[in-house]
Amino acid sequence: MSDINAVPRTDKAAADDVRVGVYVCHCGGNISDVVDTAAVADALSHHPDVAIARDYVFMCSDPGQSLIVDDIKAGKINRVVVAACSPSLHELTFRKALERAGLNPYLYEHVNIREQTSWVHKGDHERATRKAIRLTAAGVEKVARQDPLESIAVDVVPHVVVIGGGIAGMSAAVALAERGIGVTLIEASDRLGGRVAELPSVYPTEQTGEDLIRELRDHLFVEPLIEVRLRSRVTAMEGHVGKFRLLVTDADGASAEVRAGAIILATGFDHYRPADGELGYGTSPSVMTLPEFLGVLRDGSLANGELRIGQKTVKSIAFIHCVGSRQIEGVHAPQADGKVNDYCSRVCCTATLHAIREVQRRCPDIAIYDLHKDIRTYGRGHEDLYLQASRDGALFFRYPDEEPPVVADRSGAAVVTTKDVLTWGEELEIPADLVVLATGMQPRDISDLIAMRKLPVGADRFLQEVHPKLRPVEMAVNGVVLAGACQGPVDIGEACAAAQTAAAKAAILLSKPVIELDPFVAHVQEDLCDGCELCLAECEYQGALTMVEVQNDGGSVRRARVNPALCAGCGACAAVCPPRAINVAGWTLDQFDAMVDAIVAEDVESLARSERRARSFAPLAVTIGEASR
Amino acid sequence: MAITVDARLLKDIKRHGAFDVSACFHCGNCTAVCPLSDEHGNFPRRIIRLGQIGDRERLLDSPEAWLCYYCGECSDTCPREAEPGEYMAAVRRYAIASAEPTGLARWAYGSTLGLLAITALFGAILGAFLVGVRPPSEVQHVLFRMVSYGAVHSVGIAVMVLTVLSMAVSVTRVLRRFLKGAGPQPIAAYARAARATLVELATMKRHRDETPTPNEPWYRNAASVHLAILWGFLGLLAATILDYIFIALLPLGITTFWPARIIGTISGVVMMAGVTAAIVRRLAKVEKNVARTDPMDWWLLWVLWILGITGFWLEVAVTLRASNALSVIVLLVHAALAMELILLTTFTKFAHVIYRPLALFAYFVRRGTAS
Repeated sequence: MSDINAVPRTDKAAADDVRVGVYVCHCGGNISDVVDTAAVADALSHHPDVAIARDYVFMCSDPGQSLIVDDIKAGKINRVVVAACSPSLHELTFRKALERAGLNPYLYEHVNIREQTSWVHKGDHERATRKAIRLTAAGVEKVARQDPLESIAVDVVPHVVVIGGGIAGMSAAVALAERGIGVTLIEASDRLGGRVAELPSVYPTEQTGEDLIRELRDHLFVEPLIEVRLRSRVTAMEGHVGKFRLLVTDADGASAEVRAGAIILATGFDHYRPADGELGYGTSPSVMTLPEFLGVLRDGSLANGELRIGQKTVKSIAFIHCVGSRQIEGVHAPQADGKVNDYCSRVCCTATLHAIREVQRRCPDIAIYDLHKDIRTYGRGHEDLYLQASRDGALFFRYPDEEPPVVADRSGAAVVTTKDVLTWGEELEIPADLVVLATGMQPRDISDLIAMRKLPVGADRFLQEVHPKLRPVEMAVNGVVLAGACQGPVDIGEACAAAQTAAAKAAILLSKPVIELDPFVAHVQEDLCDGCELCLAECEYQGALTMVEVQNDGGSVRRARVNPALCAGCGACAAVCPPRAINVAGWTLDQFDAMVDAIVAEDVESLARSERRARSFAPLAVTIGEASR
Repeated sequence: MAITVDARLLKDIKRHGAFDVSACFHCGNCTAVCPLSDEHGNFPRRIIRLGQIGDRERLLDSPEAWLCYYCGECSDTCPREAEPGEYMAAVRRYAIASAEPTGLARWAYGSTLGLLAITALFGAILGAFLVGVRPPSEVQHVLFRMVSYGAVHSVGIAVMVLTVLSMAVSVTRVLRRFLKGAGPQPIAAYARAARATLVELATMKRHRDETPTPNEPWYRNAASVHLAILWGFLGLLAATILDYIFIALLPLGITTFWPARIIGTISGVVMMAGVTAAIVRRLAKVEKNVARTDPMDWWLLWVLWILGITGFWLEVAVTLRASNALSVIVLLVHAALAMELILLTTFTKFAHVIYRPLALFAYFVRRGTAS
């Protein structure tokens, strides 16, 4: 814990001489067209803790920020409230201004009177102004109780552990090594390449999967910065961003500790395995899955324009899409966890059509039937496969979502019976020598890893990112990044793109010797803690809260302790702590109490009322005119 | 009862055109834009699907292929360039080729060589009859020294009888197919449908009013050209019959029946204009619907054209009382070819004179029932 420089929380009583500067922004009319900003500033100027209250047309502009900086430097104020837009827009801007003026940047409160006031109360200027006054007063109360905070510094181990040696894991490892970062690549099986190595050819380059893997592997094995551990598993994981400690156990049971600043999860996916008898799988010799069929294409059974399986020459093949994907509750049997795979596996349409093209090219006389719910060849150029397969005579059927086809065995060949939407819902029988089930992707069973860090998992059982758009490969567990199909069905290109993004994210984390974390984490006031452990039960972040033995009056008692590098500052512990011994820095319960008091206080209201009597509402044009004069 | 999918039918149809139809992904755009498709005659998508799944019976039961005039609107707007219009044409060829029991049509449609062989074979047989048969006849003309006037009539009557018989079989079979599912109707309903059919055949009103007008003058657009051939042909048929009645049957002793001669001359001019225009349209590929010409399409046009030219030759020869050997041979060719065209009606593209009217009739019966 020596590397974590958590600043001990100063007592509220020690914060003497509070002088708050309040700055009310017009936002160029966005606020001042509705809210009487001058009235807000005047109202707040009567607050006992407020030393200066101003309003200005654009607080975020250079002259706007200079108002604050100058006031701080002149010694007039030591706390700042800006009542303006959303904190997500400019909170950081003003914190930096405080820093430039030599003030602790956390002695700042950003009050949102645009989204929360002027934009939503356009029709009622008076009440909008009153609301703005109350929100700003609450901000003053909060910042008056704010201690200076320091960001948490964490020393960084400049090494990454990549879990999973498929194409995503390999790709991420190579990308990291290219940046000069050491990598340990951990693979459970005895070879690298994962699922991609199984593919007889990939679109559009028509290389074999083995070719793709070889290209990466050649790169990987000559790279001194990459250590590959085959037949190995992660059996324990602790620590936090910057310094994770993983226990890696190989097939012989030998374990070794690996330290890493970041972890990339590239654990991949499992092929959906149809249940016994599902669409004839396991019960009819003429039924196989698409991965199995790709194995057939690879092993040379398709030669001389003829496809032989066992003793049989195949003259017709029926492909059935969405097996184990886009399942519907009540129609499909649930998986082990009671849920159905209701998601689209995304790659099977293209993969199926690619396999069809392969058969058409090498064996044009085989009749191809394709049964789908709809075709989703979403990738660049993938639609060509659909068009070409169709042009070359593949016959497409569309079965209704709720009524999947039925496969029966009839004298050595299969018969697929389906309702066909394209034949106005009529029932058709399709005789086929071979039925291929386009099975979807499922998350791998990595429940052991998930349990080690309480990794967030989506409703589809795949690992879940923080934000699907803005933070697409990061996990809520800081320092753990996602690459490839462990996050959801992706094709090879997308897996590699995600892997290289993950590598970039990990590299950014490791780019400085010390990581600075937001100081908004929980703190325990040990003299108040009674060791009830309610907080531990609520904590979602493994290792963020622990119970420790401390000496007390000669005896030993248990007290909660926070690991700031693991705490996400969610506040769940603070909410349940009976003696209010836990607080989140920057968001203490005292601060909340004071804010609520301010919002419901009588005197703030009367303050505003007296001001309203004294001043008439100043429209934007006049305000701007005054500002420019 | 589930239908068993059979991929062979589409392969069969594709031998008659429709090379691109596999690209169809059933968006239904063709049916939506088709000016002639409605709930009583639903095409082209439905007909494409029947071909794809291999439902031969229902495909042949559907009059829809014959309701299509191939305006090309569907092909122009098909997002997959599957050429539904060309497919409909192929289905029509397939229907004639495959739906008669002798296999002769299949041979004629299957290869150019077969078509020429059949033409030569039947031409030779008819020619032999024409030269060989020598019944007594009152009309004596130097032109008839090889093929007698009486032979033309007696062989002609025999051909007519044979043709009527084979057409009767064909009409019954096709009509039974087309009317499947329409159910028995009162006589009046059939009469109304027959009337509507005749009006449409005579005027091609649906073609002219509903289908988009290409940028062409009226006298050489598809409907006018077809009407010219149709009316010209009917006029010539009428003239021939009148000629036969007034000269050969009635004991009037006349050698030239002028009303028939005038009708014949005018009809001949009209038909030749139509046929020539049709040939030019196909040679110049003026529109999508004539961009691809099957050997059978050429066969019908050129047979008609040769009949027209030789007909005029003979008219001039008769008027000038010419006696040269060439004219005698022209007479033989004209007579044999004309009889062959009639005799082979159900085996060639000429069979559309059966299919089109019956399809329209079935359509009007269905439509009449619904309203």
